[in-house]
Amino acid sequence: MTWLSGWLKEVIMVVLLASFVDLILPSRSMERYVKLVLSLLILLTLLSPLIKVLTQAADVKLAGAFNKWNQQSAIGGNKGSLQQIMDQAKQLKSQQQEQSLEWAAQEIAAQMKEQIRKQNGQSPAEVKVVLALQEGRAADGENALNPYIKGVTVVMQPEAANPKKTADGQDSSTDIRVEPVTPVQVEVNIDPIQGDSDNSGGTTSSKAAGTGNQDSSVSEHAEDIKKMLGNTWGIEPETVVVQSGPSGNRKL
Amino acid sequence: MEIIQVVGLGLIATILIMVVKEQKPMFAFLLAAATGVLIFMFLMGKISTVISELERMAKSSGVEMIYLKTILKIIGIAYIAEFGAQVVRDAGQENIASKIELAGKILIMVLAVPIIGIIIETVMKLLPS
Repeated sequence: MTWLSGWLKEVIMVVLLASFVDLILPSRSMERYVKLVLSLLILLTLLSPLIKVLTQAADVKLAGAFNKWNQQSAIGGNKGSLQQIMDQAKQLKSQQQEQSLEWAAQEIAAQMKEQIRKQNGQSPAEVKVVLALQEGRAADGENALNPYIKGVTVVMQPEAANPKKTADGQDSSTDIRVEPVTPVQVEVNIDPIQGDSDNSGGTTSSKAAGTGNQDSSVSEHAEDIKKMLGNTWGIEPETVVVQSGPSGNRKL
Repeated sequence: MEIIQVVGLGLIATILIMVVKEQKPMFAFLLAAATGVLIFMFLMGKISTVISELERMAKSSGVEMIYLKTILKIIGIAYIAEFGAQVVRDAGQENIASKIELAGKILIMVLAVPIIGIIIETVMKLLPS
């Protein structure tokens, strides 16, 4: 008996719903179509005990059918979104790579700073290392991206930049500290295609020559730093660019 | 009394449109469309209360939710198609308005297809083969 009352309740409710929907329908033009669907729904509700006996439950089937449609229509829409996801993944990957490169560059810069300090007795004010990625030629023969040192910029303290002045005495060095001029820049440039061990930078070496002429006293220091960095990091010393502090400032 | 607000909005918009129409028919149309959208938005909240109440009733009486969902989808399609068609019709594009209505009708028919399928399947099983 509970089954019967449940069925009756359902039928009454669907009929009520249908009449209500008929009431709030906006236009007459849709009326016939909406009425067809609503009458079909009422018929389905009336037949529901029969359907349950003969086949599986109607609502399960309906839900299955609607789900299938939704999936089908979602596949068309998802193509764009999948592409979007892939693009986002690529972006994230490149961002991550950039960040890791930056971090590695910072580590290398710190190590170079320490080495220069050990060699000269003076730590440079700033060491900047620019890393970049190089296609192919991985150690295991796979097509991978190898990081290489694209450029090194060493900014020396003023004492290191001008040894003549430091020769004057300890007091003058403090004077020089007051002076605004500072940076000596050592730039190591390696050609991206030829890799770490190959020497390529004709332009950079010419730069080095030019700047060396500008300040001969710095060039000695620069030669030392060039050789040291070249030996320890596998960089050709000729590609190292040295710039005295004032000239560097002028260039900036 | 929301009906007074809606009617007032409609009256003001109508007067403004009548004033503007002589000089700039373009702005009159824009005004009409904006008023339509405003009233539609205004009614959205009211309709949502009605729909939530319907859902609650259906749940308590044990109607399958898929039926209710189908009915609600029909109402939604009918309302949106009707609104779009009216806005386009206001702009004088009778062709496009009828196409929008056609799309609404077809989408409603699409909702009917699985129901028809189930009923036909049941009837075929009832008949002795």
